[in-house]
Formats: sequence, C-alpha cells, structure tokens
Amino acid sequence: MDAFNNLGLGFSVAFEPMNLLFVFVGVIIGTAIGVLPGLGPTATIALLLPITYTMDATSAVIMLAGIYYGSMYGGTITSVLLRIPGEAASVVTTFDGYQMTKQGRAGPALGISAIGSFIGGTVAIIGLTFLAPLLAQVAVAVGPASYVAIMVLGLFLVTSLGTGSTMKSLCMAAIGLLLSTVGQDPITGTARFTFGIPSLLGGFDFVAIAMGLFGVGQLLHSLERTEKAQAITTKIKNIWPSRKDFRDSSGAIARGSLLGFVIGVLPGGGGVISSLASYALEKRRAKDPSRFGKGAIEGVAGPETANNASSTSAFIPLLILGIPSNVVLAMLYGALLLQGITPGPSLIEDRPDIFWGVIASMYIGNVMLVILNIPLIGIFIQMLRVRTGILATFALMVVMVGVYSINNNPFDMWVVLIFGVFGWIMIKTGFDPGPLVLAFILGPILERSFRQSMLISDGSFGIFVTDPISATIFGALAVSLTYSFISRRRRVKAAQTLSRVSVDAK
Amino acid sequence: MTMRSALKKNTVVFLPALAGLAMMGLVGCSASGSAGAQEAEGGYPSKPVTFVVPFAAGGPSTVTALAFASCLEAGLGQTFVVENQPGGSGGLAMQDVSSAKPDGYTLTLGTNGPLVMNPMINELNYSIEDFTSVGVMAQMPTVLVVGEDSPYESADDFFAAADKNPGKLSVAVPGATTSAAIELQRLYEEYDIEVIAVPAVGNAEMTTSLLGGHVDALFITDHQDVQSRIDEGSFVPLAVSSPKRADWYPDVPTLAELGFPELVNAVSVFGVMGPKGMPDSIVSTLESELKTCSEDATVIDQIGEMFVPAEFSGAAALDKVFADMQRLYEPILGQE
Repeated sequence: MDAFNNLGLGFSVAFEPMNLLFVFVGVIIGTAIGVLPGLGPTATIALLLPITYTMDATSAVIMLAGIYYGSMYGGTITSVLLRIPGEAASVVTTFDGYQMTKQGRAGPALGISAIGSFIGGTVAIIGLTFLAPLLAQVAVAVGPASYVAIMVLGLFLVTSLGTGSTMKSLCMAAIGLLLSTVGQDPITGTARFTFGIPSLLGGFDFVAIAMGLFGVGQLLHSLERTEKAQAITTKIKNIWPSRKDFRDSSGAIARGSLLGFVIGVLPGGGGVISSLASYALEKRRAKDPSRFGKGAIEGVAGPETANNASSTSAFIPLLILGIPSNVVLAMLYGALLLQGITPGPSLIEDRPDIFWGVIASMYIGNVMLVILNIPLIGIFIQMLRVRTGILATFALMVVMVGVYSINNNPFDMWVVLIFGVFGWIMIKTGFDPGPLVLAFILGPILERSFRQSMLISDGSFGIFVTDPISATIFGALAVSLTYSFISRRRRVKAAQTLSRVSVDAK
Repeated sequence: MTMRSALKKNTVVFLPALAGLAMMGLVGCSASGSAGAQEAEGGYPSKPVTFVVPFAAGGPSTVTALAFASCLEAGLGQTFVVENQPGGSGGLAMQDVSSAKPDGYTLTLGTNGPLVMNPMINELNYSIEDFTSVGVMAQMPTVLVVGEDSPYESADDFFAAADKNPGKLSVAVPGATTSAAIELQRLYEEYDIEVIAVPAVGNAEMTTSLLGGHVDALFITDHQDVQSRIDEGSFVPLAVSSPKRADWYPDVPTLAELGFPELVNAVSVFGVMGPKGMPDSIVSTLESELKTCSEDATVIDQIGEMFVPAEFSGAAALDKVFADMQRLYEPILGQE
C-alpha cells in the first residue's frame, strides 16, 4: 500500500541520527516547559524560531513538533499535582486530577495520563497517516456559522464540569464571557472596557487569567493550611495505576482518542473542545456521575487522551492545506517559510521527506515520551514532599517568568496577581474557576464567528439553519434540552405522587 | 559563518529563559565561530539591538524581521534580537518603542495598521510623528481573489455583480484596522459599490473561509501562501491594489485600471522605524546596511523575491509613505 511505502520513506528520514537527536531534544524541552507553569510551547517556539534558521528544514520541524506534543504530556503534571493547568486543554484535567492527588493517588493519575496520552497520540498519528486528506476537508467546511454552534456546544459542556452546582458554573461561565469582551472589538477595532489602559487593548491573556485563578489562588489557599493538614493530603499511596484503574479508564481512553482526533482538526478551539467533550461524555456514560469532580480516574484519562490526540491531528490542516490551526502551528508555519518552504496542498508531493519524516518522527517521539515520562512520575511526585512554603514560592516565581514571556509585557504579571486573589476567594466560597477560564477561551471565537455570520447573512438567523453542521448541533442541543426538561418534570411529578401516596398511606 | 556567530549571540540572550532545558547540547554543537564583523562608524552598534515586531510570532512580519535581523547582524557585528510583542493590534509595541530612548538600540517593524490607523481609532499615547523612519524592508500588495469555482471570472464580473446587489457579496479582510478594510469602505463611499467586509484574523482564517465557500472573495495581503494557492489553482486573482500591476501577476489588472483610480493604498509596507529623535549618523548607518541587506540573496529568498522592492526606499521615502497614509485616513477614521 502506498501509505506504507511513504511511511517507510518517513522513517528513513526520521531515523537519521541528527533527526533522532532533534526528536529527543524536542520532546525533552517540551516536557520541561510543560511542567513549568506559565511557560508554554508558544513562548518557547517563538524563542527558538531564529535558531531553526541554521537547521535542516525537516529537523527544524521535527524538533518544534516534538516541543508541541511533548508539552501536552508535561502540562498534565502541574494540573494534577498543583492544580495549575499548563495550557488550555489541561484545565479540564484539574477537576479530577487534583482531587486524586488530594486522595494520595497522584501516581495513578499521572500514570494513566501518560498512557492515555501515548495511546491518543498514536491513534491520531495512525489517523494522520491514513485519513489526513479526507479530514482536511472537514477543516474548511467549518465556517463561521458552524463555529457559533460548536462554541455554544462547548459552553453547554462547560457547565457540566466539576462538582459545583450548575448555577455556580453558569455564573462563572458568564463572568468568563464578559472578561473575554475586554479589548478591541473584533469587527470594528474600537476599544471596549479598556478604561484608557493601553495594555488592556489586547484583552486579558488566557494564560495570565488561568495561572492567576488556578495557580496563584491555589497557592494562596494551600499556604493557609497548617503543616499537619498538608502532610496528610500529600501522603502517596501508590505510584502505578491498579488493575481496576486500567479497567475503569480503558473505555475513556478509547473514546478520548477518537474524539480528540476528529475534533483536533478544527482550527481554533480544537484542543479545549476535545478535552471538554471527552469529560462530558465520560460523565454522561458513568453509572454514578457524582463521582466526577471527586477524583474519578476516567475524568483524567479521557480528556488527557483527547488533548494529545487533538494536538496531533491539528497538524492535518497545516500539512495538508497549509492552514495553521493555532498559534503554535502558525509558528511552525513561519519556521517553514524561513526555510523557503510554503506549506500547502503541494507539500506532500514537493517535499515528501518533510511530510512523512515529520509524521514518522511523531511515532518515535511518542514512544520516547512514554518511556521518559513513566519513570519521571516517581520523581515528580516527590515534589509534593517539598514544604508548601518553598514549593509555592518557587511555583509563583516560575509562573511570573512564564507569564511575562508570553507577551513581553509586565502588565500580565499584575493580571496574574490580581486574579490570584480572586481565585483564592473563589476557592473559599466554593466557586470553581474552570467554567470561567473555559468560557473565556470560547468567548472570543463565539463572538467573532457570530458577528461574521451576521455580516455574511445580512443579519438573518437563517444561516444557522442552512449551515448543515450548525443545524445538526443546534438541533441536537434542542432535543437534549427538551429531553432533560421533560424527564425532570416527570421526576418531580413522580416524586410528588410518591409523597402523596406515602401521605395517603398514613 | 556569520549566521553562526549570530546564532551564538542569540543564544546568549535566549538561554537564561531556557536554562536547564537540555538546550545546551543542541546549541553547543551548532554554535561555533566568532564574531568577525567590523564595528560601524561612531561605535554604533556597540551592544545588542532589540527589534520589536508588533505581532505574534510566525506571520510574514516575523519572517521579514528575522531575515533582515540576521543580515543586519552579519553586517554590523551586533546581535539583533527580534522580540514579538503582540497585543492591541500592535498598539502596545508601538507605544513602548515610541517612548524608548532614540539611541538606535530599540527599533521596530513599522507598518500601516499599528503605526497610522490604530492611534486614529483608539486612544493611544503615540502617533506617526513619534517615530524616525529608517527604510523599507518589504512591501506586499493586497489582492482580490475568488475561489476556483467562483461565478466571477474577472474583476469586471465581480464588481458588476456587487453593483447590482449592493451589500450582498461578502469579502473577507485581514482585520478591522487594516488598509484592506478601509479601501473597501472607500469603494463604497467614493464609487458607491457596496460589499460586506468580513474582518478575519490573519491569512489562515481567510483562506479557510474562501476554500469552504463561506465568503465570496478575499481582499488578502499577498504572501507566499496566497501565491502557492494561485499557482495550484484554488485561488483566482481578480485585481491587485498596488498603483502598478505586479510583475508576478502580469495579467491581473490594478483596481485603478478597473475604474477606481483612488484605490491604490492597500499595500502593506514593512519598514524599520525607531523612536523620534534618532541621530542622523545612526539612521544613515542603518539605512545603508538595510539597503545592502535588501540586495542580499538569502534575505530575498526568505521573504520572497517579489516582496523585497528592487529599488530600495530609504528614510525619506518611508516617511512619505506613512505621511500619505496619515493624510488619507485622517478624514475617514480620525476622531480627535
């Protein structure tokens, strides 16, 4: 078969000693920056871009790609251990991952994430190898109207997260949406809610808000507790997932791989939506959904698998269509341009060595990552033994450096600190920052797509019906809402009759 | 060789941020050689120069800045650190640069949106007068393109249809504060042809929306990605925005030829700028080095032959470009 021949070519490129070295360097840097809160693949690749100049084009892309998917592995670690999500897609992992840590099950949480990530990544690479051209069409079929529907679906899913009340989640999501409107209007370019502060023109940075609400908020909260209380929560029971853990998560990993692969192709919010969708799906399928948010291992395994699968399938639009679907891939695109190569539909024919070499390197990189990560789990967990005061100080420092590195703007550091205080208040009052942060990510895409749709349709809502993807999603949402409304009514009625019956019996 | 010495210096700057990230091995083996360039007159530059790009990394602006930075580095013997400072449509970076010391150690990529239009639309503490021009690095026209299956085979077809159905044809533009968007507004105000401008974020989103059939046309900044689409046939160019036809699209008419003589301004110029009051000696050192670089084969290859003007435009010419833009857009956008 053709794909196998091509893959052979790819492996012959990827196994060249220099390229092997660059895969290794890439995944190591990726893991490291993933672990360091605040520092992410975006800032790192931006820093390394000038260096890739001097490298061979294939090696450069292989290394940068390694950093990207490597950081997806690393990002999980702080989400689980410290409740600091390294990147958008890991926000969902904090819900059950951190709870598992509190129960002394950090090891299984990280173990299952690494295994899920490996499986998800591998499934997505296999998909990329065989189905890429087919799926590339999906990426362009999704227009503004479909995006509106997908983002609404995303917001719908946001409220099903965590253990808090739906009402609290809705409130937080609404605040997240409001915060996302700060900055320049996406259509007219005029300033909104900036109060004359130039740094607000660009809006708040997602990383600054997430690091503040989750990271700094959690650090402040943990400093409040006494040494004794901390010692109990950080007791480590076991490192390796048990047989039951594997049984519980196998389905979640399988479903997460598929969901992540398909959704990852969407430009923009692919990564977040895939982990959200996976979490919601697992919660819905669970026999006892109330376990979620209290340390359910499926709630870690599914989303982590999905976000790794999606970070791999995100390469499909870039390599097949020449359309970068997120900031990191846009920088990979820039790296290729600097080499005099324009990624586009002709890349496969013009430079099969790059196309297939990069794909083959991903197989190798994923194996390296799982081999690297599993022994490292034991070491990372030791982090929890560090006194909270020291750990918190160090983490705060890394967060500040990381946040500054994103836009080279000291303002973002203030944002982290201020949102940190809000985050602490939210923990005290029982609000979860997750829905806020996720709504903040989805908000701008929702607004821009909605307004683009309205421009294109001349203000008619008909566009959401004529667009097949949007019609399907809105239809499904309507059915599901009606269903849950009716079944609740029935339950209430049943409860009423029941109580009446019991009253009568007296 | 020179590239390598540049690399070495770059890493000195970058490494603190990445220390301990196993970078040492990688950098160590590729960094060798020594800084072997002569100091320029008057001792400038005697320390690394920061070159601020007002957009996120990865786009044409970064590619242009990096290509020129490594060439300037080789010529002037000092590191040029390219720093991306996105946010506020470039307004943040411009504000920072305008208030930096005019000593030649803080430079920026100056282009229409951040430099001229943004301060007109938003309250910012700078305007075009707060900068010193050095010279042009690259310029790109805006092209009107449709998809391969489009019913409009020529610009005449397109504008006739737009004239017949006012406000029905949708045209994606690279953002609200771009010359492309303003030109479409002027198309309506001066020639009474109304199309819907749909602001998108960057070329990638625009490309998607045309390939997926979500908009009727794009008014897109010409770049390698657009050209490769035109070459393979999925995009069909109808018109270019430059005053003269582009050499690389000899058969594509200009908007001026099509009966819109005023619409010649949607050309993205990437210039080198510094804060106001840069000493003449520094400006001329940079200007002449910039000229040398704009003839450098590597630079031309990286940015794209057609986008590096064959005839170099220096400080005076660049000044005029932005001053013209300022005069033109003031009545349309000015609010003060």
